[in-house]
Amino acid sequence: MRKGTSILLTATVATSLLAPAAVTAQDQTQLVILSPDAVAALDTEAPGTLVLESMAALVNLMEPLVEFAPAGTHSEGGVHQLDFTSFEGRLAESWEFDPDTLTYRFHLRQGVIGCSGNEFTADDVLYTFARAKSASGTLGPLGWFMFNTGGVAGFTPDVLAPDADRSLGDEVTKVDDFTVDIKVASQRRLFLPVLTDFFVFIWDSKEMQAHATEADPWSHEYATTTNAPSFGPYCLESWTKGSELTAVANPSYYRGPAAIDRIVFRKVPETANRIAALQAGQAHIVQNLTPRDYEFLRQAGNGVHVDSIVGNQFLFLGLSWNVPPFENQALRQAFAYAIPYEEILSTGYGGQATKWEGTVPSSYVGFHRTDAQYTTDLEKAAHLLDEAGFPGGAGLDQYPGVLRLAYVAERESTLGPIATLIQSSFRQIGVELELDPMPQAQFADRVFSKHDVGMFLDDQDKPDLPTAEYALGPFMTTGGPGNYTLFSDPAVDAYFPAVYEETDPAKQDQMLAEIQEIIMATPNWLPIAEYATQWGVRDGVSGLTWHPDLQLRWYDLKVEP
Amino acid sequence: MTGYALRRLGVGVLQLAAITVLVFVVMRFLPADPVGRLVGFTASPETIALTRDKLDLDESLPDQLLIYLGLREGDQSPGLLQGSLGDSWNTGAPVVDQIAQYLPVTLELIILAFVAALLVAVPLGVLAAVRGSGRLDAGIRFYGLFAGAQPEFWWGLAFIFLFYVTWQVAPAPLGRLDFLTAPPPRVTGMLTVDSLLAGNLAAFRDAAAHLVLPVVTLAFVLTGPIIKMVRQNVAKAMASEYVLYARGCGLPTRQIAAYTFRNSLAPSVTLIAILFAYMLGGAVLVEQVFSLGGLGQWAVASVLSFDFPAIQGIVLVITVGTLLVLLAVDLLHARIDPRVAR
Repeated sequence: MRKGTSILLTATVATSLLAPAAVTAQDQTQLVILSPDAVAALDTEAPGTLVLESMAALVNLMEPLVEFAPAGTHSEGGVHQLDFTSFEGRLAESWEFDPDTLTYRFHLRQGVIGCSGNEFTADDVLYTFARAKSASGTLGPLGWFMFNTGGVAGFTPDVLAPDADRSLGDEVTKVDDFTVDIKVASQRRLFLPVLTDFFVFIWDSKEMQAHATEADPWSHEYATTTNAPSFGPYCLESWTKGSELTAVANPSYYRGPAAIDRIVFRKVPETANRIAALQAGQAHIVQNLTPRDYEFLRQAGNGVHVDSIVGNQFLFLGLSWNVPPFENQALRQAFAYAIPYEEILSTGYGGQATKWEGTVPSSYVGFHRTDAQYTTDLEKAAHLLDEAGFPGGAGLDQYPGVLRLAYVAERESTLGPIATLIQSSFRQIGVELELDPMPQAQFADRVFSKHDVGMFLDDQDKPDLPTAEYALGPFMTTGGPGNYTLFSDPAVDAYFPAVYEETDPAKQDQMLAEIQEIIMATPNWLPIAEYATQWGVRDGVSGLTWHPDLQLRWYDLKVEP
Repeated sequence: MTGYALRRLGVGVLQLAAITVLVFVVMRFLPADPVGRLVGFTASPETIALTRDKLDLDESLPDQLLIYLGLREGDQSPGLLQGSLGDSWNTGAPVVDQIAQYLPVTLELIILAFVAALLVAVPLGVLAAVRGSGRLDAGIRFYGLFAGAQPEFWWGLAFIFLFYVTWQVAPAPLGRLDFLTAPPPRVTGMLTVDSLLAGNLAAFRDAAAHLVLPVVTLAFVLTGPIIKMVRQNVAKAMASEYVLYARGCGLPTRQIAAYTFRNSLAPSVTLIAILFAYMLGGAVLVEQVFSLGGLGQWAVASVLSFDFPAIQGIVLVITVGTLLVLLAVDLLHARIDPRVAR
């Protein structure tokens, strides 16, 4: 019903052009972005931060120490790309590393004024690290997690024990007002990428402390419900919870005021309404549509185009290591050969996807196209099934409830048809799958926490840091925090932590390639597709740049007068 | 009457307490633990343990209940008896603040829709009953069936298609105000009221224009069953012996209609009150279709994410609202028919 109505509405808009898709003089410096959800929180340590719209606000209101440098290239879909091996200073002007003391020295930019009028100093950096280490928010402490991943000294799991001392020690020290030393436990390539992640963007400590209370010394309530004071390109103008956030360009921004004066970021849950508004010229960018909707926008034209990039969004079929019979390697490989890859790419993603040929996003540093590849080959799948001890699927019925393919019910419009394609293909080798859509919260609990789901389709989780060691370490090592299929292979484990700490990039990439070969040969994640991240955009709007967190930087956007 | 009101109020308080405890306990038996979603997929066992500790989920069920009620200290203190509904696990914001944010949006919508529905449905229902079987009655009955034949969101989308897309006489269904309209200072949270209080007629016009289609959608669906109820009750009253007697005595039609209306009012009021509570459910979909951001949408998001404090707060507010409406109805009922209070 909803899809039918969506097409009905948008088709009418396309043919009748109910309003000229003009950008009025008033709109020249105002840009309207429509999204299906609203900004839920502005605290990096609040659960609401995991809402994509909250991330969008944070990356534009706050500022990092360093950022990936532009690659100077763009995708076929017109989206600018970054160079994940090259960094440019933001709040940090420069830095150097002393291998003897394992210390980074950051020289901070002077004269940076935030939205509250405060000047950026070393105190803000120390505050940000101290707040992350306090693990005092409601969300799993992601600031701590990021610094732990980057190898920052003192950010160990010990500090999470109930009565542990979580105060900042000498791992981060102020040399003077504009110089900071950060000690690391080991030198890692991940250290600088970590600093680009919005979970560790820099807070305006003076403004935050002004809103601290005895019960809430880290101002979580203020940041969650009121503002994210920092030194970013945009300042919060208004925030209507559950509905809309507006931001205005920071006039004192150190890189110069943004080209667009005001951004309206509004929740419009109905897909049809977002499309209609974009086509009518009442919005400039819409996001989080289905692949089919983007295809419709491409075909319809009407002053609208679609910008896209195959970045780090992927689809895989997860098989839990701890759930029999999925510990059987031949069975896993049989399933990998039974997946209808091409149909999924064309039907499920409307051609806006490529086959995933590895276990790491292909845009990431250290990606390796593995020798082992799986293509749809039902004969081979049947043979492997036989080899696994389940000829023609016989014997799988002794594992009741295991052949249920779980996926997030809220993603039904995309994952439902894909799950049906897989179900149909598996039936041809004698494996009867039952589809099991479940609410996102239940999916997260059972897959990430309880690990009691045997098979699942996942297209939403991605490693935020664009290096292979991050995409593999937490996810594919025994006891790794993101290893929710409980994959365990001593050969893979043996590479860690050495692969983190290898300082020769060539050697490091070689080790990562070997790890990817091992995993691909005995897959726990059956890689299916890398699909495009897309935006519906009014003609005349440009400058979209893809970041691994999938959030647009409003500062980069331009609107033609 | 005062004794009846106090008795009724006492029962309401007991009902509220029972529902509060029941909802709290039922939530804990949902088939998923919310921590998995809160900590994300990169969470270590230490992180999961820390989060469970912060949310008091590592306490026993009775202890969690005591903390929620405010009868024991915990990380999630203060509790209900101290006037706190806790903090949302989704946003981290106090549930009370969020209810204050979302509830006025929904109230504004359903109150206006309810008033519109009553203004249309009651006269039509009475008219249909008075005129008896005829074209008007058939037409009204057809409308009653027609309007109720599709859910609210379907009518909402149909109205958007007609009034916004095709005829371009309604504003875009993109929220409560146009992008260029500055919202009035918040007093009640209802934009039409706040804009009038601020003397901001431009904002009032914009807010009212954005409410027309949602209100019409809800009222359109609601009007059908109200017409049907009023018509049945008035027709039943008109066929009663006291009306026949009044007619036999030669009383004027207006006076007979007044007697009839009063006697048919009691059952109608009860049913209308139930409909009012039901409208909260219908409002969810209308809020979704018109991007209004009200309590209904927040409730759905909270349920889907197993945000226990938010769900408990929402249920509590809806329960209080429903109990107050039912209390008011009982008192009105007693006023109409004093035998009820005996």
